[in-house]
Amino acid sequence: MTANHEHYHHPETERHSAARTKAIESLLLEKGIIGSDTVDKVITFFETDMGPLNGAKVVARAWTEPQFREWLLRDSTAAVASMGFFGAEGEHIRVVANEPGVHHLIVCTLCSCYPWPLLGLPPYWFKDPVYRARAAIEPRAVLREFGLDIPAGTEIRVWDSSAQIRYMVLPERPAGTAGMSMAELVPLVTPGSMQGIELARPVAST
Amino acid sequence: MRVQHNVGGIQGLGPVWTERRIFVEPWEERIFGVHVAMMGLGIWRWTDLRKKAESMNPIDYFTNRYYEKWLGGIEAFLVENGYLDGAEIEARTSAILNAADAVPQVPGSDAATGRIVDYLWRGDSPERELGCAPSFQVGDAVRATVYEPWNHTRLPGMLRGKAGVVDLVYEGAYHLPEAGPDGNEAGPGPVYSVRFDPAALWGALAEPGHAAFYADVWEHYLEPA
Repeated sequence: MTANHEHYHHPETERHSAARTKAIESLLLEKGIIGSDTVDKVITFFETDMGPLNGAKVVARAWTEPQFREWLLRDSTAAVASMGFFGAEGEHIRVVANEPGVHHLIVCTLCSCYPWPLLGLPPYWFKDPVYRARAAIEPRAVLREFGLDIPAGTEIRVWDSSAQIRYMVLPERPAGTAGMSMAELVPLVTPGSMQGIELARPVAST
Repeated sequence: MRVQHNVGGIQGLGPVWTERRIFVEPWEERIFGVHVAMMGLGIWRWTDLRKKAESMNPIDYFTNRYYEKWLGGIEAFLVENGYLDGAEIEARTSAILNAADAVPQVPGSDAATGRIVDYLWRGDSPERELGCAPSFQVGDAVRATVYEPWNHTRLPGMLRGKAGVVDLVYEGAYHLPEAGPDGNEAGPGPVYSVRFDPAALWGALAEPGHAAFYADVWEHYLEPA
């Protein structure tokens, strides 16, 4: 048996953490440092304005507009800002494109740097030290644990967000999607496909 | 040596936790909101949070969940910097544990929320004016310096002493918030995308087909190889 993080949920510990969090928030409120709606507004912001749907729109557009794709890979920050995606943790963006024989994977070995305006907040696996440790040294084995088998002939490139740049993967366009509209393509672009842990969703066969 | 600076490449940790949720307990979302508020109001910076996480007992670092580290870091910072009093946090926590409605209803600051949401839209770039030309060009062989950081670093530990090749020179200069014992931060400098050969990092442990490990490295950490 190895580390299972579910073991770390002890009801008593969680109850204390929840109370301590509420204590801090309520004291900051009483001292006039934050407003009564501050934390709710922040939470709503990430539900409505900064989430992986933004990144999916960027990907779908790059799949359908070769000129946009070229701009996106040359000057990612400007290209995504032109679609309104900019802000905290998205000041400097770099998009790397998967292609036949090349697969990219994103990690932040020092912390959890992530392109908020494109992908929202990082999921737990990305923040967890086990992923951060192992993606650096054995990305192929890590991807297998996510259910993605990268063929032996495909090389893997790993990107560590150790400075100002926040990374996103441009996944390959799935087969059988020729002629599909942006609206049809966007749902194929999963959050994981823009982090490199999975491929864009294949079109359901009928 | 701090394990937190050397996470990349640690072996024997077992399977990856493939949890795709962002928050696994409701309170985690609330403490994240408090963190964003502190960022937007200029109360603290990412560096302050990272210093707290990097100075933890390494065993606790690996066993505490992500937002448990944030909660501990936020509380300690607010007390150390005089925003809140440790005793009042304890008292309020106990009161809430005994009665969930033990929180007085007050309006707080009207202006704060707008400033905080504005920060999310505007961002906070570490880009600064470039004081001097970058020393390295694309294709140059470089080596990361060998040293022990004082309390915070942006050079992943597994790269120390390793040689790579400059793949891209980023435009401009970026603030490097690493400080020594005097507290003075290294400040703005050029940043490079450096390509490392996994075999140079991991030797025989490098995985077949792992073609490249790229890191963004400040010139501050580099010397010619």
